[in-house]
Amino acid sequence: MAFVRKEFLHIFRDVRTLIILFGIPAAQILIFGYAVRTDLKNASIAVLDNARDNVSKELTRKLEASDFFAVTSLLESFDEIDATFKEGKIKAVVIFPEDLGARLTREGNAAVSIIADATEPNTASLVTGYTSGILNDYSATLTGHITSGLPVIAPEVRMYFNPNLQSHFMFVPGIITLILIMVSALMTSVAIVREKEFGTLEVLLVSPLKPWQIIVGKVAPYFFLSLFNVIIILLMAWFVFRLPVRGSIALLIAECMLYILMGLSFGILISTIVDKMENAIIITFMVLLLPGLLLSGFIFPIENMPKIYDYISMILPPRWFIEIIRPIMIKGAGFAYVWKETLILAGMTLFLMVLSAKKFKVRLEENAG
Amino acid sequence: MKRLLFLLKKEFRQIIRNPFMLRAIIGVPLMQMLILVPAVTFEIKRLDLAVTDNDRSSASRELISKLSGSSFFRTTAAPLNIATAESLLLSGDADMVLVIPDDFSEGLAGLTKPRLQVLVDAVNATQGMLAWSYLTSVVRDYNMDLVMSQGGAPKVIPGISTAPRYWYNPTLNYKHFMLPGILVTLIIAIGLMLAGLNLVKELETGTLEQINVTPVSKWEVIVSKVIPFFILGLFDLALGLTVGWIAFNIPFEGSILLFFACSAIFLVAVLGMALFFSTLVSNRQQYLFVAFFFTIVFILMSGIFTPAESMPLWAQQFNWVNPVAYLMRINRMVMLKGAGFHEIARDIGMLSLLAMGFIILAIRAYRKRA
Repeated sequence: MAFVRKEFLHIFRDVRTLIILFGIPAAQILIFGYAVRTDLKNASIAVLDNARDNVSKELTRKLEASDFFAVTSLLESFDEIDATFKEGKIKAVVIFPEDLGARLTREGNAAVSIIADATEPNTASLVTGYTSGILNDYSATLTGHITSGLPVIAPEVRMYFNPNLQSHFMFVPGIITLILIMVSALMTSVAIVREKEFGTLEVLLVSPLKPWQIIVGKVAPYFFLSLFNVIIILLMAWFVFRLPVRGSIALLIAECMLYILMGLSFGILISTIVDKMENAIIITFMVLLLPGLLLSGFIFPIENMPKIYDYISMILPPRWFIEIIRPIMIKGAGFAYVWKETLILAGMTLFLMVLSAKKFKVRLEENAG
Repeated sequence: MKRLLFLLKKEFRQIIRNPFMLRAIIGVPLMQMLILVPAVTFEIKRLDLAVTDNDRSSASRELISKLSGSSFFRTTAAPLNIATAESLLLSGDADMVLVIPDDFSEGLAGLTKPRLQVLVDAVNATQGMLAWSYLTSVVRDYNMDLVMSQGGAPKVIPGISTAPRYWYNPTLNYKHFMLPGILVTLIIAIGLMLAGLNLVKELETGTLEQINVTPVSKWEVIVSKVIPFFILGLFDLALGLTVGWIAFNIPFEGSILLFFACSAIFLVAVLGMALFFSTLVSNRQQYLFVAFFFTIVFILMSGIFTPAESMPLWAQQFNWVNPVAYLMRINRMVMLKGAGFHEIARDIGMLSLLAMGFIILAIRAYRKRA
C-alpha cells in the first residue's frame, strides 16, 4: 500500500506530466467538437455565367443564399478555371450554358455543369450533391404547379440518436478510446521501462516486495488516472456539447475499467519485451495508437473499408471498445446489446494479463540464473 | 567541420546499430502507406436498409425493388412493428429503416397523401445525411415514373439536369487524397518523435553535460544530433512515395524537386520544434506527451481528413502557425494539381518563416539552459 502511495506521489509531484495528462483530453474534445467537421459550410464556389439571364441570376442567388456555399468569384471564361483551382480557394465552378433560360422554357430541360476540385473527394461529392439539390429544388418549384393535381410521395425522416446531425456524437467515444490507450498502455510501459533502464527495477526486485506487488504498485495510479480522465471527458462532453450518456453510467464505467485493464496489461507486456524507452514508445505507437485511431472506426466507419481491414481490426481492442461504448453513450443501449463485444474484450484482457505475467516471471528467472 | 563529421558518423552508427530504430525507419513508412492509405475513406459502400412493408401492394413492392436495385442499399425485410425496427438500429444491424404504411397504395390512388417513414441511424452524421439523400433521390425517381405513367403531366416538364465533373481526381479516388497527407504525417513522426526523443535522452541521462565539458562545442553536438534525422526524414519520404507509387499508382503531376524542397523546409521547421520542446521537458515521458499532443493537434487541424475551410475562424487562424497545414496544402497541390512554384509561393514563404521562427526559439531556449 505504501508503495502504491509512493508511486502516486511521484506522478502528482510531476506537475508537467499532470498538466499534459489532463490538457490533452480537454484539447482533443475541443478540436473534435469544433474544428474537425465533416459537414460542409460556406464552401467557396465560383460561377461562370454564360447565360446572364433571369434564370441564371436567380440560381446564383439561390446558391449564395444557402449556408453551404459562398459564391466568391464570377469567372469570365472556361480557361480561367484551372488557374482558379490551382490557387486552391475555390471548391467548385458552376457553369450556366448560354441558352439556359431559353431552353428551360422552350424544351423543358437545360444542363448545368458543375466542375469540382476533386483533390478532396469527400468535399467534391458533397459540393456537387448540394448544388444539384439546390437546382432540383428550383426545378421542383417550376414543376410544382404543373403536377399539383397528382399524388407525390413525401418521405418523412427521423434522424435517430442524433437529430441535429452533429459530428461530435461520433467522435467523443473515439476520444475516450484514444486517451485511455495513451494513459494506460503508453504511460505504464514507459514508467516500467524507465525503471529498467536506470536499473532501479532490479533494486526494487531485491526488496521484500513481491514482484506482483511492484507491478500493481506501478500500474495502480494509472488505473485511477485513466478513470479520472474518463470522467473529465464525459463532463466536458456534457457541459460543452450537451452530449448526454443515454445508457447506464455504471455500465459505461465498468466497460471503461475493463478496457483500462486491457491497456495496463498491454503496457506491462510491452515493458517485459523491450529494454529501451524509445522502443516501448514505438511499439505502443505503431500497434495501438495509429491503428487505434484509424482502423477502429473512430473517424472512418469500418464497413466502408476494404473487407480485409474488417478482419485486421478484429484483433484490435479499440475497435471492440468503440463498438461497446458508442451504443451505450449515444444510443442508450443496454448490456444485452454489447455482451458479445464485452466478452471479446474481456478475453483479450485475460490473454494479455496471463501473457505478461508469464513473461515477467521468465524474466525474473533468467535474471536469477 | 571535421569534428562535426566525426560526430555525425557516430550518430549514424548509433542509429543503425539500434535494430529497433532501423525497423521503425523502414517499417513506419511501409505500414502507413500500405495499411492506412487504403483504409481511410469516407466513401460509403453499402447501407443496410431494413424495410417494413405494411402495405404489401404492387406499388410498395415496386418501390422496394427500385431501392434494392440501387447499388447503395442492401435491403432486408424487417419485422412488422416500429419497436423491432428501432432495436435493429440500436444493435447496428440496420443503418436505416423504411416503413411503408398500410395506406400507401391508397394514397397513391389519390385518396390520401402517400407517406413514407424513414428512420436513420445518425450517430455518424455524415453517413446519416448521405443515406437520407440517396433514399430521397430514389423516391424522386419513383415519383417521376409515377407522374409519367399516369399521363397526367404535360409532355414538357421543365427540369435542370446537372452534370458533375471531377477534375484532378475524376474517379474520386480517396487514396489520391490521403496519400499526400499521410506523407506529411510520416515526416512529422520521424522529425518530432524520433529526433526529439534522441535529444531528450542525452539531456535526461546527463550525457549532454559530459559532452559539454569536452572541446566539442554544444552547437556541434546538437547539429550532429539533428542532421541524421533530417536525412532520414527525406529518405523516408522517398521510400513512402515509392511505395505509394508502386502500390497505388498515385499520380504525380508536379515537380518532384519542388516537392522535396518543400518537405525539406517543413522538416527544418519540425526539427526546430523538436529542439525547442526538448528544452521544456525534463524526461522522455514528458517529451513524448508534448510531442504527441502537438502532433495530433497539428495533424487534425491541418485539414488532413476534413477541409480546413469549413473549420471555425479560430481554427483557421491557428493554422497560420501550423506547419502541417501548409505542407498538406502544398503536397496536394503539387502532386494532384501539378501546381508550380508561383502558385504555392505564399505557402512556401509562410513555411520558411515558421521554420526560421522555430529555429530561433530553439536557439534562445538552449542559450538560456546553458
